[in-house]
Amino acid sequence: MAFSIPNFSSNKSNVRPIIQLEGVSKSYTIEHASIVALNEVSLTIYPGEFVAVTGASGSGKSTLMALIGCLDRPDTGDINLDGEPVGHINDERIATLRNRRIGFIFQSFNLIPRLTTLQNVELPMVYAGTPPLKRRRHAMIALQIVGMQQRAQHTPTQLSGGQQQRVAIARALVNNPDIILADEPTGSLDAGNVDEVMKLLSQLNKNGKTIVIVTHDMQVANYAQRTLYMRDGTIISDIRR
Amino acid sequence: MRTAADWKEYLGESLAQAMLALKDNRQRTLMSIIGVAVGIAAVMSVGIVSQGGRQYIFSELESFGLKTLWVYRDRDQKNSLDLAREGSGITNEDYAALLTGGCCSTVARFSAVVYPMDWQASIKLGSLQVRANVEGVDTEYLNINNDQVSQGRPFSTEDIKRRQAVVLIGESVRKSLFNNHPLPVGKTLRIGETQFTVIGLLKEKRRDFLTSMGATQEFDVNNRVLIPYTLFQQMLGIQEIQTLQAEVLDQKKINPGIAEIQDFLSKQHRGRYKYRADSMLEWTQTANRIVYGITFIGVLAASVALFVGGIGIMNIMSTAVIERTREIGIRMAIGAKRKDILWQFLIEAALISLIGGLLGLLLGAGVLVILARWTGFPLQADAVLILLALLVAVGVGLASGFYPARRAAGMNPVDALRYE
Ligand SMILES: Nc1ncnc2c1ncn2[C@@H]1O[C@H](COP(=O)(O)OP(=O)(O)OP(=O)(O)O)[C@@H](O)[C@H]1O
Ligand SMILES: [Mg+2]
Repeated sequence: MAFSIPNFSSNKSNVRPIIQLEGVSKSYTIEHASIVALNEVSLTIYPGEFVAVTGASGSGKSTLMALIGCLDRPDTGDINLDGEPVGHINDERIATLRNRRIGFIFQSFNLIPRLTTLQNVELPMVYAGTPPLKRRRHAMIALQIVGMQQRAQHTPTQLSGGQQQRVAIARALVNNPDIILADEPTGSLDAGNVDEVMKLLSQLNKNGKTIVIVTHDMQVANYAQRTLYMRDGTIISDIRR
Repeated sequence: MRTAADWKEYLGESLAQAMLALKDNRQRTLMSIIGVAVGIAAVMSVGIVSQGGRQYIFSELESFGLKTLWVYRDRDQKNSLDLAREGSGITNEDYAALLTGGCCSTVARFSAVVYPMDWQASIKLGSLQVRANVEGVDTEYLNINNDQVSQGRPFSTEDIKRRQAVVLIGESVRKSLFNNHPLPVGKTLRIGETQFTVIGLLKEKRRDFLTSMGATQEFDVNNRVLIPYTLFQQMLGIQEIQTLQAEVLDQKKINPGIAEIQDFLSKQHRGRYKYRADSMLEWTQTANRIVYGITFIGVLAASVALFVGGIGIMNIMSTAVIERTREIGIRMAIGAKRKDILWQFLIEAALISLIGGLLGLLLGAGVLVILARWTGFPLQADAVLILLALLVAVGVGLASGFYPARRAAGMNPVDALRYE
């Protein structure tokens, strides 16, 4: 265990956790068989942490991310984001939370293929009700941060995997959320691009964003200050460096 | 809250989406669009035909006077003794009694109508000669029949009382006798052996609808001349009136009016004669039935076509929703509310339907041109109807898009994102 995290290790009690799970369980039913994807998971993450989640395939990493990101609801247990219980609030409020507080990055980039780079990055602001001019300006800034401003008018199919992921990061950033959730963001990238994407995420973390990243790649996990290991729906180790 | 620019972009994107759906499912989309188009064309035609047709038919019926009725002796009686009896059953004394208020609280005015057996007579102008209908009438005749004198003057009471040899001529007669001579008023022509002075020209009347219904046979309403009934009686050597024409106070009083006059005449003659009566009532009802018939068939056709189109759109949208499941998940993950997703698909469905609607307007315009030629109705689309048709199109789109859109909006984001 590492005790060198300057911000939080000494005075945790004074800082409100940004993500907090208490005994969270989630199971899925396929053809009458029930699969426990998460089993009584408790987890506390403080603002500004950079957390890597690793574990075997099927161990529940994506399920954990979906619950933190309010893409799904837990069967039992409580989830708090910045002190707000989110497990059982209404759909409209959940949509707003996803829109304002959370930025998602996926393994398969998940850009909308028929929209341009710029339109993809603007989309979270469309749903936030941001006026068009402001939207355009902020989207261009986000694209600049990821170095993709030259490709604003391209469509996703005209971009390489690494470029698409950078656009996806810009989209995740654009509403200035405090949490970034990345589920195997480098899983589809070659080594060069992995580095670039991870440097970007590190930079964002340095600027204060809380980042949770799922990965199988130890090199990627090394960018984080804290690593969770999952097995069969539970966190079996939680290591801070 | 969305700004106008947002809606523009929203609509723009939805239009692009609708176009994509159109490309992806060409046949099905085409079928749906055609369905909606046919439906909208039908809606438009129905609206215009029932509106324009009604106006047209009723303006024609109006030219007879919708409050008009004719009473005459019923000669189709089984009793041969009755039939053998002489006379028309309406004498000058009866008529005088009617005019002095002897009967009929429901009747506004009367006119005697006197005519020869076959209605027609030769009318001569120098060496020219035509056959035309001749009617001997009273002063109120023009009023009752909504006849107008386009040149000259109508009959005066004096003309009738003094049996003046004056004549009003119809357009067809004018054309055959005076050709292009613009002012026949004051000219002299001969009917039988009597010289008549033309005092006026009757405004042309239209009988297309009634003729097409077989109501007027070959009778050309414009091929007629009117003379004082008193003079005509003298010429024919009779003291009676073949037909009594009357106008009741309002349309609902036609049947009571007929009953009153028939009663009166029966009493006058102590039941020696039976009377018949005609009115425009039957024709107004026929006209109404025709208009309603057209409307009904049209509405039925429109409903079927719109239903087929609507089912097609529902089908396309369901496919689109499934194909774009992942996109729906992405949109939800970045903050789309359920109602955003709902509207996205609803607008797409409405736009596809609207394309059908616009095509339908073109198709409807074509149908109307043909219908206008065929029926002779002066059919014209107005802005309200076009707007209504487009509204119906959008309505069909929204209705048929609702189920798929609701399914899209109801998706669980995590499942949608996992969809391959
Ligand atoms: N929507 C679902 N329906 C049914 N079963 C599911 C669903 N989502 C997850 N599961 C099951 O729950 C378990 C955990 O899945 P999860 O996706 O969280 O694993 P993971 O750790 O992300 O795996 P991987 O590394 O392969 O992505 C698995 O057994 C999976 O089959
Ligand atoms: Mg996973």
